[in-house]
Amino acid sequence: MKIVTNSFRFFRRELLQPEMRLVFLSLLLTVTAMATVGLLTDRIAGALQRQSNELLGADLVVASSRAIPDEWRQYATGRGLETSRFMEFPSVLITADDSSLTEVKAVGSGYPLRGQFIARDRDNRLLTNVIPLQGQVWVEDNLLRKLGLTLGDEITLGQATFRLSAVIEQEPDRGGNLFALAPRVLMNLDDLPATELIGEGSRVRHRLLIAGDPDLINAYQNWIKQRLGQHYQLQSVRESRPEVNASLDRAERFLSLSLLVTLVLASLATWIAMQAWVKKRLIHAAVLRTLGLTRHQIMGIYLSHLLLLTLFACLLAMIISWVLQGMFVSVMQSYMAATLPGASIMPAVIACVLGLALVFAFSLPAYWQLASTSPMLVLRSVPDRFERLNWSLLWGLIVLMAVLAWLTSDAELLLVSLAGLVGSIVLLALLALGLLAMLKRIGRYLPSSYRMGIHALTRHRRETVIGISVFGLAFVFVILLTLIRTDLLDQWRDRLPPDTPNTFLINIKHDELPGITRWLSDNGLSNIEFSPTVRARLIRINEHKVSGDDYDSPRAKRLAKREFNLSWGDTLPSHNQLSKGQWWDEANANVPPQWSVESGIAETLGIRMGDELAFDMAGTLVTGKVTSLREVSWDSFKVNFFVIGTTPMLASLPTRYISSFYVPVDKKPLMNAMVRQYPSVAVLDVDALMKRVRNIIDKVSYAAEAAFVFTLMASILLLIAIVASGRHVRRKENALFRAMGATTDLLKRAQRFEFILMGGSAGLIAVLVANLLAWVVSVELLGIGFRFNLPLAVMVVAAGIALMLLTGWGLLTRQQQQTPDSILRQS
Amino acid sequence: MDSVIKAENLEKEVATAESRFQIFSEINLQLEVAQSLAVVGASGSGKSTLLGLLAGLDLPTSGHVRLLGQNLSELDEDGRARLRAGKVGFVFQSFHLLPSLTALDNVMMPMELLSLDDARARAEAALSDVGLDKRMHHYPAQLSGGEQQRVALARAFVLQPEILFADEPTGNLDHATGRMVSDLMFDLVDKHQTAIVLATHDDALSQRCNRIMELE
Repeated sequence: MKIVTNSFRFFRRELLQPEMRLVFLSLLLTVTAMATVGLLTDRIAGALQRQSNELLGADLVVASSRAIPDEWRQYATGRGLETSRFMEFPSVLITADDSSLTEVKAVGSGYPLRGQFIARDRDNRLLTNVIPLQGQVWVEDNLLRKLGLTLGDEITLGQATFRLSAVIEQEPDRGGNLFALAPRVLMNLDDLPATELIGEGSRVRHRLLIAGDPDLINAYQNWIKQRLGQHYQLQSVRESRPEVNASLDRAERFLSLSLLVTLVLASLATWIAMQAWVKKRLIHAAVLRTLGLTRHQIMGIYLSHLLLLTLFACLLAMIISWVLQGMFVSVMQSYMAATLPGASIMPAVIACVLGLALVFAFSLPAYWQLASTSPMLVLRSVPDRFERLNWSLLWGLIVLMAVLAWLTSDAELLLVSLAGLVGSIVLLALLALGLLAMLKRIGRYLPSSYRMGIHALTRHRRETVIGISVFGLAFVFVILLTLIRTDLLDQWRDRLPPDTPNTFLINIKHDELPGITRWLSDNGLSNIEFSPTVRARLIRINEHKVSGDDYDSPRAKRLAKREFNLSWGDTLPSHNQLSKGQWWDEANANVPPQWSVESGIAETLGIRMGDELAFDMAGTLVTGKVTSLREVSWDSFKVNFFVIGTTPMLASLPTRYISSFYVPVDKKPLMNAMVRQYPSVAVLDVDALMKRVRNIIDKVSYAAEAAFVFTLMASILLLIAIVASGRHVRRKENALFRAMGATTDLLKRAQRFEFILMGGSAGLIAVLVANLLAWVVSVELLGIGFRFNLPLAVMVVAAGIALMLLTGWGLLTRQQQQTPDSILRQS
Repeated sequence: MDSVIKAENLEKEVATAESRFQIFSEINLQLEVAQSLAVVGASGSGKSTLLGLLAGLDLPTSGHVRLLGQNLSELDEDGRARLRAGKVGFVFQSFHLLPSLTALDNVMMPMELLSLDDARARAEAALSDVGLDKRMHHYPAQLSGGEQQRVALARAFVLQPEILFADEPTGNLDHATGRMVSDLMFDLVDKHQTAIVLATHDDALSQRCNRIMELE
């Protein structure tokens, strides 16, 4: 070990080697990027999660149709978590001379744990996050209107009498199902026994709400998961809110993509710098072998350097990322309503470990090669070309993919990106080869300085092609992210334009339809579409009877048990897209009974094209074949259905209509007037929900911008690595040319032209490849439209030339300052 | 006692893209303690290759080399490296000092490999022997070619090797400096009773050896 200890003495000087500085910088960037993005996304994800949890009323919800064991609650309280609970059940509310079916929610103290519950009392005072006193109930406005009640009246629920004391304005976890039709009645849980409503066989939904520190929540989640069994489910916002789920998913994919790209670029830079360093060290390793060092001892010396370098870089990266995320958060805080939860050190630690893994993966093969250097090298000259670099890259790439898989945990994204990566490299290399061949032909007709520039490129064909491809790859990524970040992100935001539907009308009877349409149009709300809906339960898929027990996932279990809203029609809804099969033609009077199923639910329930589905609709059995699958954008706030059938199959069944449309703020009071006229119609205002979805998208785009800065830095670093790695050979060549009489001016011109060609070529082919990829990513992965961005394309080619000239400039001027003799003697 | 080097029927071939090319064959030689051998011949005649084979840096296509009593063909690369440690010295045409180390550190290097305690004192003495006591803390880039080769000599002799391999030790130096370096080298060889194998095409240098072997 003494060798290793001694080798530390040389570490400082080793760091001063330009290649090592580059390795150090790449490593610093890799870890800083991972740590900063990790820290930021951790905090943003925390904020998103908390905001989303407001839609759930808690951080975690245990749900069941059975009573929830009290020790589960006690266990949570015992670990410092907040808890609350409620029970929900349908019940008939009775007044002096009328009655109505209602959805009763009996809430315990502390409800809700997340989000705001708001009610308004008789004196118009807002009651926030409190629950009804015993003996009082709060109801929704439409119930008051429907039954002609006023606050202060008495009502009966089961065996108990209550006083109406407030109107519910906002209920955070309401709307888990937009089609929950019955009006809400909220009561104190302590009053429940007196009603005697709950007994054997009652349809009650029990909920245990839990909130608190994320680590405690995670620990509790792990604890409870083992105890849930088949009758209890954990709920998270992702399952209960498809529209938020879609946004979160997309957000995560975008961030993953940015980080993925940064890591690929920085790893490539590390690899290139490492190759250049090893190449320079080959002769030293050979000398050490002649002095009697074994392979393992040589590995020990160099690895100890690398380890020190890595640890130093990690430490620095952690400090930098901590400061950066702090700065970023303080800037962002002013844009965002919600405060971000505190940062945890974990993402930074993980980044260090992953950074370490990456650096070692990209360096070990090179080190092994260094250690295996034939000592004969001391008697011969160093080969100019570093052999066997391809498999060392392969090994690094494998580890890189493992790291990425671990980071993204999104197989589809990773596979598509991987395919994109390999495809682009091949495409870039082919295009680069083509361009080189073309340049060689053109070169003959150009003046000598330009010809020399082209010769420099063709002379090192392999290096040039690798250089252009890798540089091009960096550009491809940058273009891709720019396209996604600006164009695609805008389009994504545009998906929720100002006139996104903010109001749902539910439960419209067939005979009310003409009246309501007319009423809406009289009040300036025209061209509103109504969709027919019937409630049905899925009974059979082919011959197989559907039961919740058939499925493992809680979502599938619930879907198998619950009633869906089906619709029918002769045309595919304009905001849906067919992914498989064909839409039916109802011009044909004998159109056979068939279904079109949303692809997500089809996957969850295992429904395939051609399957025969049987639905039970209030006692009537309806059967048809699945002839198409549809993609539905759940975050469009338009009316969407899991299953749509043919008109003849369903039209005769008892039908209600539903619609969603945009109501400007000034017209909102009008909706109350409509409800008074049509008391059975429910109006659902989703403005608050939409605000949250918008907020989520905004936050994500800020995080994406942060990730993007690192991507840009990584590509610049990669460029420097490429130019620097060829420096040694270029220096010798230039010295030779100068010895043979080339003037400084001629060499300068030739080199300038060479850099222009190289940068321009990389930019040009990158534009081609990136746009192809952007099309795939936007259409296939993110599900949004694509448009070619010409100004960006021009900018990239210009940037390629400028960056290449700028990076090459330092090299150029330094070389011209040395005499050819001194350079040749250094060889 | 065994000879320092004994080579029997050495043959070396290299594979080119189309065929195999024989550099030399039928080489037999023996070198005793404190003897010197000059290997001469035109460029490309295989001087450096032979030197590499004798030092165990490479293996012959056929034949055997016994270095310090060990058959090199029976050792793996690491075994051959261990054999060299401390007992075999090298001097190269292009010096091959480690540029990130000072003259003193370069000379200490072989001793640190053996974890010797008095490395520093011995390195200082060795540098002083070659007249560089004032340049110990200079880096190779700050030294002239002659000075660099003197550091290399100090490095080679600091452990009093049993044999020194020198590959064109004056090839990169001007006439006067080359002469000074070769004087120094032979003084050290005499002082330490070191056997030496010298590859060179400098007649004056080869004449200073006990024996001359010419490769064609």
